[in-house]
Amino acid sequence: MANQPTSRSLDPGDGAVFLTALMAAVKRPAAWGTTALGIAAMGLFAATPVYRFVDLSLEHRYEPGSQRFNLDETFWQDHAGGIEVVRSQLATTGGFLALAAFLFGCFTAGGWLRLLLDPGRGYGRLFFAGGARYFWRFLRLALVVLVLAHVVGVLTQGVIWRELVLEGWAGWEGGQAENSTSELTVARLGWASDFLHLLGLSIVLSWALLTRARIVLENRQSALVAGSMTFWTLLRHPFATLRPLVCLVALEFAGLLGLALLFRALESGLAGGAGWVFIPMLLISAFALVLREILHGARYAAALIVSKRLVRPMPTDPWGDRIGGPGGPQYPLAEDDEFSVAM
Amino acid sequence: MPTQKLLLASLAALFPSIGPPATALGPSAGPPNPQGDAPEPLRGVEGIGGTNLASYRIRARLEERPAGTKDANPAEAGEAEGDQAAEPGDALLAPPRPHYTLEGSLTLTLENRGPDPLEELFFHVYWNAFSNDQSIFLEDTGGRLRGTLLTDEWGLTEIQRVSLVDGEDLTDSIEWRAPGLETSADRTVLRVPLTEPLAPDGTLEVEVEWRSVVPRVRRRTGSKDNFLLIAHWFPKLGVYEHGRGWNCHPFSSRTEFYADFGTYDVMLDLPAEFRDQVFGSGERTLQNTNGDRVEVLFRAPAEEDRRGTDALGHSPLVHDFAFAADPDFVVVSDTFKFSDWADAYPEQVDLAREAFGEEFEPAQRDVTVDVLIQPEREVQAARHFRATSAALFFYGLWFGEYPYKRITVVDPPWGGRAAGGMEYQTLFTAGTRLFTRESMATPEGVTIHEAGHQWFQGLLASNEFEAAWLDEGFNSWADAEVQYLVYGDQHQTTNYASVPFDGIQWARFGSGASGRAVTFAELRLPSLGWLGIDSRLALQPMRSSGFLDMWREQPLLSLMPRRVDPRDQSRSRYLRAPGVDPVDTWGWHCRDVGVHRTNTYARTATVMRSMPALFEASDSEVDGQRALFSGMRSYAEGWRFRHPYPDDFFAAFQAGDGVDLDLDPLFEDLFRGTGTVDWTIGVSQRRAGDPKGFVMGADGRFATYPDGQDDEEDGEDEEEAEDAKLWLQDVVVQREGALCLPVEIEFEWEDGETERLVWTREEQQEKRWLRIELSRSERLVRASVDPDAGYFLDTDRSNNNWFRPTDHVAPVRWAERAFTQLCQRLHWQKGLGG
Repeated sequence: MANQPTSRSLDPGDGAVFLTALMAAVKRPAAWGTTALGIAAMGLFAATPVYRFVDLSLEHRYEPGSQRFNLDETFWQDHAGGIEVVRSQLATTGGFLALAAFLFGCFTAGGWLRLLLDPGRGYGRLFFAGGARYFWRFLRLALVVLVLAHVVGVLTQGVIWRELVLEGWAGWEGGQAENSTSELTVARLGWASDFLHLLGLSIVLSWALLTRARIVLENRQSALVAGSMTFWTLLRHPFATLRPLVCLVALEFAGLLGLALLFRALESGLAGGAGWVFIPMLLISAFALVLREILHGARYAAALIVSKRLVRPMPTDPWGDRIGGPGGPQYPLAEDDEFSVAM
Repeated sequence: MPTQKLLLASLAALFPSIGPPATALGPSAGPPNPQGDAPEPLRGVEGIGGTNLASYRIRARLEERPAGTKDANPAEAGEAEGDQAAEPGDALLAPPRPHYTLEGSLTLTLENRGPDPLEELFFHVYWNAFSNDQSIFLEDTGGRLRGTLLTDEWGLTEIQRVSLVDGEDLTDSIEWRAPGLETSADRTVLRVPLTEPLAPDGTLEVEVEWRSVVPRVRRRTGSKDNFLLIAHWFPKLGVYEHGRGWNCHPFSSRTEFYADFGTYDVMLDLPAEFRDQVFGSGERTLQNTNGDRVEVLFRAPAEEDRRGTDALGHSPLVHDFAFAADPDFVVVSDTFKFSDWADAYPEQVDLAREAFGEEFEPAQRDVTVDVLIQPEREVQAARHFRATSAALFFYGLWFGEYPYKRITVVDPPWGGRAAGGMEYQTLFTAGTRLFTRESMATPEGVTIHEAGHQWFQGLLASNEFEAAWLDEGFNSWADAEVQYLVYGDQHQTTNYASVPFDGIQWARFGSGASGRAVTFAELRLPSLGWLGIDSRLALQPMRSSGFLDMWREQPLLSLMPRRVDPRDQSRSRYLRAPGVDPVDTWGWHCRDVGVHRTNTYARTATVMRSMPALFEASDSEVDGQRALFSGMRSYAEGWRFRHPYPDDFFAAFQAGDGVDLDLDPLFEDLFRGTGTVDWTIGVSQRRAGDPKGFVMGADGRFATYPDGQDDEEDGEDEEEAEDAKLWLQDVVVQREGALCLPVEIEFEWEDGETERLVWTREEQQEKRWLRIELSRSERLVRASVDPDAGYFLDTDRSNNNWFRPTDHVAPVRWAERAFTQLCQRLHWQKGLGG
């Protein structure tokens, strides 16, 4: 078994786990900077055709300022063909970038965890080293996540929901919503289904988060074994494991809501002709992305804290990794050992 | 005497005025048409619409049948009971769900007010359009009604008896009519030959008995649970037109209705649950409960309306009767008062006064508005009332007052939306949803539109089979004007968990199968056919669901605003098929239903909205908007309670628009041509410069231009000399498309000075382009063709303006919206990976 990383920076003491985790994440600009820049670069790449299209369409043909707050209906009508092309491009490019982002996530998860576990220097190097080290394990885990997400979908949105709830309980023939007598009932059942779907998916994603932490902490190779053990931990300690994650999601929700309301307030200024508000709007968009990346990292930090509390360390042989030749004196090798071998 | 006759007799005793009242309608002139019952369009002929009066006394009994109830099928009954053949009319096959059946009898009183004797009668039997998937109606829609493939819950009507009131039985002589009858399964037109012709000025009374299975409401009419919208439900007389014969087309999915004016006295026998919960055209005058049944009498028009005349001296009549019933209706009534609205929109009253002259009296009667709303949407009752009142006010102001005392707005229930958005006289269906704001124009848009039909096709009862654009098109134009005046721009929204968020996304990620795969929306697994598993397995890890979508897309942060001027909406649809068929084309002669709808609604509205620009470009002294409303007022007044055709509209409009302009050729192009127009303007400008090279001097010899002396001047002089040079501007205006309409061109210079000129229709017919060379000391900052953006017909208005400066912020602004949307989505996708 390889050396087990240790951390001295993730001790919440008596404080709230989520706050400690948040602080730990904030202090890793190499991680959130890299992930935010990666996502931003992809977004920028895909959004460039929109810039080109609008620029060419407006050039000398529209009164400056007239299309800033709202692209008016005649714009949509007269450029319907061009808009269709741009939208199609966005959909296609965005789709493939989504796959790239998924793989990027498999990579950055390892980076985050490695960086959170190591308070030493060389953040950038550690981030990429961690990403590379755990990439394949996390990719395998991500595939399991997709399968579980499918199961959650079937249970809460698919055939099970339709037959058990819509047809069986609500009595809608064929599970067809139009056979309901009430739009409100349809909406409420829709909300119930949507809520359960989101809840189920959140649990799957939380499980995956904790599993990644376990894989790193225990340096496990098998995503399935680590996942099964994490599942058991989740069952035994649902509050301890999920509470800090819920707190962080709530924080993210509040932060994004605040930013969105500020953005909308500024945006209405565009309608009034205040062109300068565009600059703070850009900053808010960028900050929202950074905020989400920090809070995503904080979830990893929380997962590590929780896992270290609840997961029994694997029995390791302190002499498994050692230096010293046979027959001579041998020294156990730890992370902070400085050594060299002279020939 | 059968019970029904007894009841009708007692009804007549109760209400001595039952029957067609005297009316101001007079015969229309028109040339004789030998075409008989297959009339062809008559072009350039005015006043060919029907003139007869058709009044109905109807009695109908509605019964609820449980699922699976099945009447004897004649064939099956014959087999089961040996040689004992089933009687015709016993063949009502029941749907597999609870449903309603309807048995009815009617007495039609037809007054022949034309010069021709009538030797036969034609009836529409509309519900048979829903009896099988090979009716003309359903064949055209591929068996679908508003998106739903019909597999059961059909609707149908069987005629059981036709006779004259004097007792002569005509049942054996009736025949169904349809193109290619031998092979057609369409049974929506019935011919009844008369043994004795009905002479001019004569009156005939005919009795018809029928029974029906009420269809599941899939388009306009039928039932959904215990909601009923019973429309075009009884055998209804076609329209006899002098010179053309009977106008009684088979029911088509593309068209609607056409009927004579008259009166309706309708006695309904319904399950008692509908007591106080049934509303119909006209007014409910009587209601008796008898055990588990309730009898309800309707009179349309209402008694009070029949006794009086409207503001224009007409005796109000109607040409249809429909009713709606639902035990769940919450009834909210309020009164429309003209003065309330006149106080709120004084400028519109002034505009009407200016347009319609000194004699115009801006006043209208009070109208009771009954809103029948579903309980869970009760909070929206006030919005329905306001939208209906808006229509009553503005349409009344522009096209003459609403002449009836009541109007009923029906909100169809969940699952019954297909009944929505339909108009009948004094009663119409709207359509709304939970969680809607006024800025979304739901239900305001549809409510104003359907209320507007009280004028276009209600009072101006054009033939919707042949000229649907006369009502749908004009109504689409007018309803958008009202929407704009009352509600302003519409806000487009995106739904998350049924809740609308203001704005739209640039794009949905992952289009097509590969897109769905890479975003994990759907991962198709390899076919397992070799294992005998005949299914396409797919993994759907990322289904779309309300709260999940909301979290991953962060709508408040990533949506982009989209505000739409309701007056622009028709143009959007017009541009889908701007020049395929002429507007004035019968629905089923159009290339497809999409083209028909575009022409009928959008293109007509777009033409109407372009009329002010046309007027103003033709005569700069004319106020185009005023001329448009004057012309429409002339048409609306002249053809009130009559049946106008396109030529009637052309003539009436021109007679009243107050503009010295021959519109005939323009109307021909606009409504009977397929030409389109796209104007473009291009500008290049430069300083007048000193020539380079050799210039011939006064002595006839070439010499180099004496630019050496310029070098000796100091910088300031040089600048002054440069400023003194003129700007040379070369403007080219071009026209694409065959439609030639006069259009204005405007220039604006740096000092704010503007100049307008007109590119006339004649000039455009001569040449497709116009070059304008200008020289000014100021630079041109703007050049526009159609500077007031009045020609909504222009198929591309993005090239109508040229501005010297350009906007550098807007492209970044809109790219940012795409960027943010992408980032939020990619962040989520990254989270799936880790």
